[in-house]
Amino acid sequence: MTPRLFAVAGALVLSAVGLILYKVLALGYEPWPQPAPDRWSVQIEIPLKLHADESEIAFFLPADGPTQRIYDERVDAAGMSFFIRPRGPNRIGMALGRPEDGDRLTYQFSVRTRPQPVDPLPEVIPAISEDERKHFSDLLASTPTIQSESEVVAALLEELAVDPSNRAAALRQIHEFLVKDVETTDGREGPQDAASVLRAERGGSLGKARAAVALLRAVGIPARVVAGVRLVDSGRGELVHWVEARLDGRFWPLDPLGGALGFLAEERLQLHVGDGPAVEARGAEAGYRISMLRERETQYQIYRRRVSNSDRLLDKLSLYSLPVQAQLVYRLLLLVPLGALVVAIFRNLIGVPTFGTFGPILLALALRETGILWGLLLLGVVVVFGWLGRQILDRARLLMVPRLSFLLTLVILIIAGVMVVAENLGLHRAVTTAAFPIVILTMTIERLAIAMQEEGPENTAKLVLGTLLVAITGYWVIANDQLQHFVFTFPEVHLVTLALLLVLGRYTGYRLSEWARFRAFHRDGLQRAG
Amino acid sequence: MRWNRALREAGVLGINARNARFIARYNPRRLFPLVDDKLRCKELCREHGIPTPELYGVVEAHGDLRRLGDFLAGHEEFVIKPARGAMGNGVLVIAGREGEFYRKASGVLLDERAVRHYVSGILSGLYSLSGTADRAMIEYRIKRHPLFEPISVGGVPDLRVIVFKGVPVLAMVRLPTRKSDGRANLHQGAIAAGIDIATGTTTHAVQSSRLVEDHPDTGARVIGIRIPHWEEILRIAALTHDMTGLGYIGVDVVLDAELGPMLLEANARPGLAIQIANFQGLLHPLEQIERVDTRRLSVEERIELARRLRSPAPAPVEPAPAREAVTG
Repeated sequence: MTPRLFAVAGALVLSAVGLILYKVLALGYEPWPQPAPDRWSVQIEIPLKLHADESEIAFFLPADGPTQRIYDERVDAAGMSFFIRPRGPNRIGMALGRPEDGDRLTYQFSVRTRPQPVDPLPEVIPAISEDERKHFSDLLASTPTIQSESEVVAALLEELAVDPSNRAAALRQIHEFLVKDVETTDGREGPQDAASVLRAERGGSLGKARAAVALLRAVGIPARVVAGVRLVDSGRGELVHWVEARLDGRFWPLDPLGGALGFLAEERLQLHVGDGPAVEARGAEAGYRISMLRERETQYQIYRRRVSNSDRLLDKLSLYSLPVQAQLVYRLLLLVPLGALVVAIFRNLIGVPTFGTFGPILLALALRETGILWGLLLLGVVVVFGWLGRQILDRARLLMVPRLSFLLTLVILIIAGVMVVAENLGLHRAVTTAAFPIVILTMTIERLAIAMQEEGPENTAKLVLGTLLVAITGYWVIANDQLQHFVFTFPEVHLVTLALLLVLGRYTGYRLSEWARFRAFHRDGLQRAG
Repeated sequence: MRWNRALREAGVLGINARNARFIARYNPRRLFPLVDDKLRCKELCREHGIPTPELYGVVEAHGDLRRLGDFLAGHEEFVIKPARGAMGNGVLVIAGREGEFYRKASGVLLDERAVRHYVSGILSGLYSLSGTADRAMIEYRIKRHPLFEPISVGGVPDLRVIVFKGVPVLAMVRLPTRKSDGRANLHQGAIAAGIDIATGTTTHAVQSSRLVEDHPDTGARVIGIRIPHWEEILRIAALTHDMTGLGYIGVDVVLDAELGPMLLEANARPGLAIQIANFQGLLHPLEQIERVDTRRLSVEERIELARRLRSPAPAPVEPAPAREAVTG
């Protein structure tokens, strides 16, 4: 009996390992989620310090462009009216209203980047024509911060011997000058307008970009400052500025801080065109923080694409071939057996008592939805109030089914009450707790009350702690994203789960708890009372 | 792990081993209702001539509640309990009458309406663990044997015998204390006194896993007590196996002052605390009995086998390291 059982278990493990190895080695599945190379989730946060009752906040929103596509935009305008308006080539988000001091606007979006074109700049581009000058007058004008008609610009161009009749060469010269001859600073040492930077021959990202644009405009190259952030894994973004020069029918990017002409050194998100500030506020002082995260979720989409294009049987049998809604369900469901395994280990190997067999796992699933701290808090409140209600109910001596139904109603009302209170306290997270396992909670409260009467507070405390221990461990397993990815990609891993359960089911050794229960047999005999 | 080996050498039966090696193998599921339903069990006992407390009446459904008074007529004392209750839950002991009222063992008076409501609760499954509808039994109230008078408080002590393949293996008596609220419930603080199968004498006693020699409430000694009718108790225990067909059971016997030993109930998943009460593991005797074909043995032969198992030289196939009880 037992050797055969071990043979079956071994066969299950071997087939699982074989299938997983085949999928990894031959079909190229990734065991762990890989970062999506081109997708980022970005958040702009604008904390507000109020000066007046009524505030108006305007900030740039990124737009689609040749190297980026923006999607999944979400905004939390702190209760202000929010709308989006075009302004020149940019989009701006406007928030109007009466926020409270310390409120913050958040704007989140996802961006998918595309590779920059790497065409070489033509060797010769003739001087600017009259038509071009008219058409791009905005990109050629002198402004208070980009003084393309100032003396320092003219003097520099003469010193560098820039020839406006070949604008391709002029562009290269100006780029080289800014990269090599103008010192890069953090931009806090002084005024950052073009003339000041050129005079001092040092400046920050914005100052150097303005200086470059001033020089370019002076030789008849339409140019503009662009603001954005580097997309890097460090998470916290810092505004950087660079330049776009309009030549030969397209914009050529150049970074005056370094890098090749026509190509930016790293992936960037373009936020807006122009050298103005990223956020303008009236009636308030507005901060500006930007942060980003590579999206990992999209591994599912990558597999999904791959599976839908494949003729291989194993690809077709993959869970990635399910509709997305069903995938979301199965991603979670497939973790439940692991939770059940946790229960089996705790019950049969360790001997931890729990309320109900799978109650702790359903609690763990609920904790996953709510987050562990908030979930445990909610659980505590519901159980304590439910139990108090049950105590009062006990005097009425109701029959079982009406009693349980009464308790169920009570639990739902308590949860609803907690939600309303939490919402009013500003804990928005609470409201997503609809999936809390109401029936399990009801049965737990009922069992708790019975245990208190039949087994006394000490044993009941053991049951409560045991249930919590298993639920929290189960949560830790179920809430693990890496594990979720692994199990969803390789559901055959549950053959191993089955094998473990088979072996566990035939475990006839002692439970850890029996170490304490029967300590008289392995210590120095029975201890005298008193 | 050393403690693990020590427990195995002492022959301690753990829960996993009990479930997988004994209950799963020797207790067919289909036989469980014979012991889980006390009314069916009682019926079987009558057929097999095993004494049980006399049944005064059964309330099957809420419609029968009107006849409750008829069932109770003529009985000064009685016990009302659910047919499928577990662990002694839902037992109402009426110790006498005062005019219109019924007097509980605790002295509290109940009118007939209260008793009817109580029975109605039993019928709705208030005390049956699965929560399904149940029946209420009204039966004879056991009179405590005078021997137990000084060593129990409140309720009636009961004797638990573990019977494997018809052979009594270990036995104990559960003595109610004030701490256990007069109930013979071990984890509430009743005393468990292990009984030597061969002699019917209590050898050790524990309360909450601590060794005791005297009853904490009365001060009377609880070890060295010779249980009366011991032979008959072993016979009832062994017969219960024949009657139910269950290979591994805990048989609960009560001792009535006038009527002698009676089968109270049998348990198809008996607990393991009896090992602590006897300071003796179950595993070695169970393994020895497992190798014997007991089906051909008469009740007397099986009891004789049980006696030999406990004697110093039980002639086991592999010598079991007998651990002496350490006192103190």
